[in-house]
Amino acid sequence: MQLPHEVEILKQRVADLTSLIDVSAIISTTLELDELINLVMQKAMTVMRAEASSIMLLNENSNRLECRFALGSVKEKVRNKIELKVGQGIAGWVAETGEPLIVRDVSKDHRFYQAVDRETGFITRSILAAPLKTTSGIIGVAEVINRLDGKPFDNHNLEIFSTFCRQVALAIENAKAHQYILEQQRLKQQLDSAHIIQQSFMPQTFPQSKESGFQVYGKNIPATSVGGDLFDCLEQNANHLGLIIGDVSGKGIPAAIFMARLVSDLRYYSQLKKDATETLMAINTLLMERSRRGMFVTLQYLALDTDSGKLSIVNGGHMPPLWIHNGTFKSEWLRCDSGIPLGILPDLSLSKHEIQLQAGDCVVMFTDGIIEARNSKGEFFSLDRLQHFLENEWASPEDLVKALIGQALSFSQGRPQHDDITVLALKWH
Amino acid sequence: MLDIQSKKVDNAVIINIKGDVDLYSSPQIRKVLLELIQKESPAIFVDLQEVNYMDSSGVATLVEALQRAKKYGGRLFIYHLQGAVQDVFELSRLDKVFQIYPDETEAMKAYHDEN
Repeated sequence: MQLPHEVEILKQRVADLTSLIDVSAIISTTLELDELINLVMQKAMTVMRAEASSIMLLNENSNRLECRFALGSVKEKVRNKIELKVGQGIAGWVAETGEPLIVRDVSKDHRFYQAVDRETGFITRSILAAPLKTTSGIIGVAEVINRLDGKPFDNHNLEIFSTFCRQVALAIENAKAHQYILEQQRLKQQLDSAHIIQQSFMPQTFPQSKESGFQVYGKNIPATSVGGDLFDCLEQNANHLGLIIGDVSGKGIPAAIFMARLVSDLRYYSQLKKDATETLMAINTLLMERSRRGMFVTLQYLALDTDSGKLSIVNGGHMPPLWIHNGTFKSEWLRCDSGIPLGILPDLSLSKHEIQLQAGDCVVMFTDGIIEARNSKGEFFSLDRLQHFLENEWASPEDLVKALIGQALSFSQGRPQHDDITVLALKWH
Repeated sequence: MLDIQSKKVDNAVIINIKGDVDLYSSPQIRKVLLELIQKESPAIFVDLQEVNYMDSSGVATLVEALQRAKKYGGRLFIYHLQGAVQDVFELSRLDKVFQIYPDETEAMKAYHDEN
C-alpha cells in the first residue's frame, strides 16, 4: 500500500515529464524565435508554478545579458529594458559559471541584484536560474521567480527546469539557424536582382553595319552574382565606334559598385572628349580623386573608324587584345606601349597604337578571368591556349565569344569560376 | 591564412609574406602595412618569395600602401616576385608603378643609393 503523499509526488513527476514532452512538441511547431520563447516560457511558469519568468540572452558584442522575454505582473517594465553585465546579479552569475542555481531566499544572497525590484516594484523571494547552453557556449539565462505556493524552489524544481532549459537552448539555436538561412535567402534574392541590374549596364544589343561591314559581340560572366568587369560599345558619331573593356581590382560587391559608376563616367567622358586617350586621362583624374583602398581599373579603349577599318588602341594596364588575320588565321598580340592601370598615379602617360584591319580580321578583347580558368591539375587556361584556340575561322564575333567562353569553362571542368570573365570581339568584313 | 613576418633593419622594415594573396587574405597584409604607414616608416620592403599567387585585391593593397607612403615621403620596395606574380605585374604594367627588385640586396642597395 502506498502513502497518499508518495502518490501525490509520483503524480507530480508524471505531470512534469508530460510537460517536458509538451515542450518538445511546442519546439517542433515553430521556428519563429519570439513566438517560440513565449510558448515555452508560459509552459515553464505553469510547470514551475511560478509568479514570473524571464529569458536573458547574451549580447556577445557588449558581453551583457539583455532581457529578451518576461512573463508576470511587471513584464512590461522588464522586457527589453533590463540589462546585466556577465557576473552581475543571479543571472549574471549563472552566465559566468554556466551552473544552474536555486536561491531559496534572495534577501540572504549577496549576488542578488536589487535594482530590478526597486525599479519595477516587484518583490522577488526565490529564484530558479539555469544557463541556456548550446554547442557554441552559453547564449543566455532563463529564470523563474517565486513559487505560487510561497515556498522556495527545491532541487526537484531545479532538475526539471535544467532539462527544460536544455531544450529551450536547442530551440533558440535552431530558430537562430533558421533566421540565418532566411537572411541568406534574402541576400541571395538581392544579389540576383543586382546581377540583373548590373548586366543591364552592359550592352544587350550590339552595333553592326551591313554597309561598312563590322560586327561586335560581348559577354560578361561574373564569378559571383556581381563583379568588377565591364565592357561597352560607344557609337560617338556616324563613323566612329568605341569598344571598351575593363577590370576593376578585387571582385564582388565593392568592385561592382566601382564598376557601375565607372560605366556612366566612361559614357559621359567619351562623348565629351571624343578621343580614346583623352577619355582615359579624364577617367584617371576622376579615379585619383575618389579611389579608396588602392582600388584601380585596367581599361582598354579601341576606337574603330567604321569607314576605313582603321583601329586605334589605347591601353591602361589591360591585357593586350588579340588580332586574328583572315586567310592564314594566324594571330598577334597587340602589345602596344601600354600605360599603367587607372586610379594609381596622377601622372598617366598613354600612347595610341593604330592598325589597319583587313576584311575578315577579328580583334578579341578579354579580361584575365578567362585565362585564369583552372583545371583539376591547377593549370591555367593561359594566354597560349586562348591564342591557339582562337586561331581559326569565325563566322561571327558571337560565335567566337561563345566558343571561347565555352572552351575555358569546359577546361575548368565545372570547378567554381575564380574570377569574372568578359570577352568582347570585333569582326571587320 | 597568410603567414606574415616583419623585422626591423635600421630604419627600414622587411615584411615576408607566405601564401596566396587574394581578396580574403589581403586584409591581413593591409593591416600590417597600414600600421607601418601610420608610424611613417621611411622604407618598407616586401619580400614576395613565398607568394605564388596574387590577385588584383592583393595588388590594390600594395597600391594603397604605395599611395599612402608617398604622402609622407616613405618608400615601398618589392622583390622576389615569382613567375605568376611577376606576370600579373608585367601584364598590367604595374612594373612601371612599383620599385621592383630581384632580391633583398638589390632592393636595399637601391634604397641606400637614394639616400
